[in-house]
Amino acid sequence: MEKRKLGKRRRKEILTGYLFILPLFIGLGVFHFYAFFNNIWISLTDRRALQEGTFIGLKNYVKVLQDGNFRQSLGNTIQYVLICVPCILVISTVLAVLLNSRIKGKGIFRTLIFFPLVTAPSAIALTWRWLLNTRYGMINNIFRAFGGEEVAWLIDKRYTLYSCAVVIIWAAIGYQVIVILAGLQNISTSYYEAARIDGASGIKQFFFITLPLLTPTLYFVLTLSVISMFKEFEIVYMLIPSTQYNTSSPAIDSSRTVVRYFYDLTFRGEFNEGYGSAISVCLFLIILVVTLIQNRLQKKWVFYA
Amino acid sequence: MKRKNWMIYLALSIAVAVMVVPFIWMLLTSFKTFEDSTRIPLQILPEKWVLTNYQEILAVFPVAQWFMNSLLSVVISIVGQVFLGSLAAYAFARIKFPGKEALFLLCLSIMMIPEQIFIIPRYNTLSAMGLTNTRTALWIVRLFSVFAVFLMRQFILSVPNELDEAAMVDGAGHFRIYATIILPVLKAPVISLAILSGLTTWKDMMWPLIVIRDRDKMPVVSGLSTLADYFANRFPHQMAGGVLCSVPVIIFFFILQKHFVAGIASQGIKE
Repeated sequence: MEKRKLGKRRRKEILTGYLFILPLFIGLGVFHFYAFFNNIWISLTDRRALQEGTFIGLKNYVKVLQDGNFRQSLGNTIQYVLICVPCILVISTVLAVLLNSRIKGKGIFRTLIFFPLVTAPSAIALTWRWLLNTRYGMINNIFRAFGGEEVAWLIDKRYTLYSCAVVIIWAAIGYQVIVILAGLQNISTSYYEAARIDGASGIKQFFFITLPLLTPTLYFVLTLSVISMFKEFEIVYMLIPSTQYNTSSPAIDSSRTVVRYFYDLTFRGEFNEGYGSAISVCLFLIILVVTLIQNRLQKKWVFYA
Repeated sequence: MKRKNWMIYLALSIAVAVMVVPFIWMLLTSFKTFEDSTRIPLQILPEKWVLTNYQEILAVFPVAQWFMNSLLSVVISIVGQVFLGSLAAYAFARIKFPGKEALFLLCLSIMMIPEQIFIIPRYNTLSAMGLTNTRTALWIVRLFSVFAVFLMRQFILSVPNELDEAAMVDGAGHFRIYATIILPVLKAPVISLAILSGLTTWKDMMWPLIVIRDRDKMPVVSGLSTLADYFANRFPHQMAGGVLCSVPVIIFFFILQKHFVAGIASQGIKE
């Protein structure tokens, strides 16, 4: 009698568990699991907008490997990682340390450094497009005033990537300063008191206490920034826009990320869904590898107190 | 010590200037005539302050409607994520059922996948349902968040379960425990989730660009992008559009700054 009752209750519990996760899993099923496998299937076809494709095996993937534009966009993305991530880490850490020091009025400084993080990326990029305008932009006006020459920041393919990188860094700082500041405030003050008794200078304290104890936070910021570089779209797209029929120019090609290439190919210009989904699968694999490498390297330099 | 403080102020002032000058320049340009904005050498203040740029934008583009659309998709997606996510999080934290670990791992694995991989099939699915170019398309794909499950499960695990057990003895079922004991204490992770996922939805541009064609159905971010195309090379108009689309959220941020900072900070110290 007792046993049967328990069994019934257990069965009810199991059923409740499944019922609780069911609503979520219906949605995940449609928009994530099905989408994921459907995307892989589409990448094996020559599907284009509004027409069913036929199975063509791995042809799209072979094409990805031979596609100079894809390779360039991947190269650009890696350059964004190599340029932006270290800058974001260093600048955000310095600003966070400064904002954490005991000075008056830091609340105002904080607010003014943080607020771009809520601004729409299209508004940020539009503003910078204007600042970087070759003839009338503020920056070239300043250059000219000091006897410099006009630089075509967003047109000349030697500079486009660096211009975009600057704006990406600018837009990312506020968010990361908040994360690092929280990490700093998490460090117990007893370490600093001990250091002061030992007579360690401010700089020494920074390198021997703050930095090692901050490594878990910095690791988090690092992974977050690397992944966000691989997903960068809005700023490069808005700084150097393409038109409905023209998705390629020296300025675009020299600055676009993999994600923008995916968008340009699939939803502008060619509407080549099969090829676009093959690119998205490649992006997934690249991010997977990068994440695994980061996890491996984590053990080398992250210090868990 | 005094000299050190002076250097900190200088460094912070430079940082603030770099952050703020672009916005001031946007604001000043938005009140200039085109001729004024393209003067060389550059003129800082408008010769004549004009509002025509704003009037012309508001005559063509439904900016207030864009804000409504953005707000709608942010609010609905957050509410959906909280309820669907907390139900599942409760099950993963408190109920024993076969396959639980595997299903949870499956959820976590989704977090690694870049969104772009889902976009083409999602577009096709919504198109088959006749939902492309509707406001529904903006939020329906965002209702189901694995991140929300992860965040709230962590939190529920840290809630001592004596209360649940006591309620269980009194004959309460899981749903009652979820609704009366767990849901009310989820305030902290819900605020973090609202800030983080709200920011993601608000800032996302690719999905609205793909799925919405009509101007009056766009959210702010992609609306501004079409405005920039429409007023190509008319800088004061573009800047006025930028001002209209960023000032309301910046005010919103000033008011709720504490929550934004706490929400963003919470994810760095999750370890």
